[in-house]
Amino acid sequence: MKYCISFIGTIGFALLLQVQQVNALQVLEEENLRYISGQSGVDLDLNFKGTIGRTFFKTDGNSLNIRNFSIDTDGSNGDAINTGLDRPINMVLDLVTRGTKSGLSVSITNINDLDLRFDQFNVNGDVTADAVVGQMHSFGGLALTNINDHGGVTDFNIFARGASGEEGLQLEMNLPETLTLNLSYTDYGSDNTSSADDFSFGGDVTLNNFSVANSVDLTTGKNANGEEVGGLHIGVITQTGDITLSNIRAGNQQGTMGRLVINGYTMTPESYLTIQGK
Amino acid sequence: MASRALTTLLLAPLMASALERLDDSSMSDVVAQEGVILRSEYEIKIDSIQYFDEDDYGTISMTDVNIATRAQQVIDIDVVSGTELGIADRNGRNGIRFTNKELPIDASVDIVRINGKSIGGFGMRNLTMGGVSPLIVDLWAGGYDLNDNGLADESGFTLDITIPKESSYDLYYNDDGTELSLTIDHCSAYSGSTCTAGGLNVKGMTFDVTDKGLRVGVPQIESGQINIRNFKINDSVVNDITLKNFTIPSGGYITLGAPDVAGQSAINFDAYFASGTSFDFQFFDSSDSDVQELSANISFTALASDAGNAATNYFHVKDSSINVRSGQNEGIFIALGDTISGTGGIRGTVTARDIVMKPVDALSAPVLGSIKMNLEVLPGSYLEVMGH
Repeated sequence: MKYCISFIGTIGFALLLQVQQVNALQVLEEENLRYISGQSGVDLDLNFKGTIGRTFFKTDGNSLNIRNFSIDTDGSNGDAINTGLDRPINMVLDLVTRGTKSGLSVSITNINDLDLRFDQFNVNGDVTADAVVGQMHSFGGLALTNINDHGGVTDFNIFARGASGEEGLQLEMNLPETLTLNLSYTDYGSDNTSSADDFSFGGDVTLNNFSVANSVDLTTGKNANGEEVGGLHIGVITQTGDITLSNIRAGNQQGTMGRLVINGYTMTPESYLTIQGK
Repeated sequence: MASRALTTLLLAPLMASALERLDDSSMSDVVAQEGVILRSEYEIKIDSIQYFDEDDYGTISMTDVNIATRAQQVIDIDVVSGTELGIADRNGRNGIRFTNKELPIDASVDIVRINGKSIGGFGMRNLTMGGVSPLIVDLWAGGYDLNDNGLADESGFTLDITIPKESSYDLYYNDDGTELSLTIDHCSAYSGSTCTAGGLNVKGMTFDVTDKGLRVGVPQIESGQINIRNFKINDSVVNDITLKNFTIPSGGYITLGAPDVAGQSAINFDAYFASGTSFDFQFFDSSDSDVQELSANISFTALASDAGNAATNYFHVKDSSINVRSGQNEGIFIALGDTISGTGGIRGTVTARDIVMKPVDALSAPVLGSIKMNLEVLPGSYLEVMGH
């Protein structure tokens, strides 16, 4: 009898679970299948440290240059220069379908200490042998360092919109619940050989629940004045999040200028940017 | 072949005159011209923007912030050389030029609160460049020339802004349903309803980071005009104010920094205005028939005792700070000078020269006189702004 009661209880529990399992199956979208072992896809571990010497945009002979854009996936560990823990960024790549749209999904985890440094932005700086040398005509440098996902997941999705009756691409980026980084703008002094006259402005940035989805399309057409209004059209589907800038500092001062918090940032879906050539 | 040559010869004068008509501003329409045009419409909504003082624990918050375009905004972007553009003050400088004939942007903040208490809301509407002359913003690489060698060998930004004479915008402040509003424009002469002269050139506004913090160079302005029209509370007109013949010499600057003590939080500031900063002030009284206009030239100079030294030849505010204090009867505390070191405060001379009260329809009026004030505001002086 004891077993009988237990058996009936087990069946009842199993029946209840079945209902929950059906519900669970209903909400399991195909793009989430990558988390299930046995599902096909590509896993990548990336430990990268490198620099792009010069990147430039040129109009009518005048160039806006970026000198030395460097990427380090783990600024404090695990490369040929600074040996230590090997902490690669993990990426999971899958081809996915959502409704009528199909595309590539990239899921990124273990961002521990990612550094992105733009050593210098300048206009018509001293370019020798196709490399920017010196600090002439410089706006300064920008560094986003110690980027950390705090155990969360960053999702990039690139969907083709064709099958949905629309054209172009849909780019989505969902940052983890909390993403932190150090933001620093550096103003270089005239002495190229010393950093004693270089000073920085910045702080600690926290992005919470930041989510961006844009449509990207090449368009053409004229407005009522006969002007060409087409070009690379970037439309906003969603763009939301919270931003905090804390420990705001400038120069050599030991204290801070306070904390700035932006809650509930939204760019409405009708917003767009079209980039045209002249 | 002969007919083609004849056609070319006949067309040559026409082509020459076409080339003569093509001025610099029309170059953006030339197909071979390089550069980028950005067309956009957007609406940005922010639930709240909050500033926290990290040691006094006071807060300033702005809720329901909205920035939106009323129509498509078109901005031309070019990478430029000051030498190629023929700008005398920017020979040897290089930068990015933003040009647009319209800037159809509205902005509003529903409520500003200090420590949770409302001080009202504010906003800007009907911003227009007039669609005739462009607003030109030049962002030059390199900021303040600290080593004074005339070269852009130090990083930073220098901003030059040419505001067209047709531009105007409305500003407003709301307090419990009562609205204070005004219209600002830069027109100095009209032909009928068409503006024929005016505008404002703001030059040499530099942005740098120094050991003390952010350094913002006060821009140089020569002979610009700012008209404050339709200055009114709800429908009650307060009359018009014109500020014209601006003279702001170069050399002024403002520094914003943090305290030099770990764990402390504040915005410390110094402000230095080059001696000789001045403008003409005109108040138009149209509410009665006795006086139509009150005018004077307002100038800011260094105290006579400071004027002999280049380092002190400024009207200045020094060693001052802004804190947001928490508490029932606390708010934004603006301290003039440093009470601990006993330094700083405000030093300078303010002069209202050639004060004139001009009656209706009079072309001129006798000068009433001038007022000169030698100011020395000592450390310990403060202004505190609170909500209620």
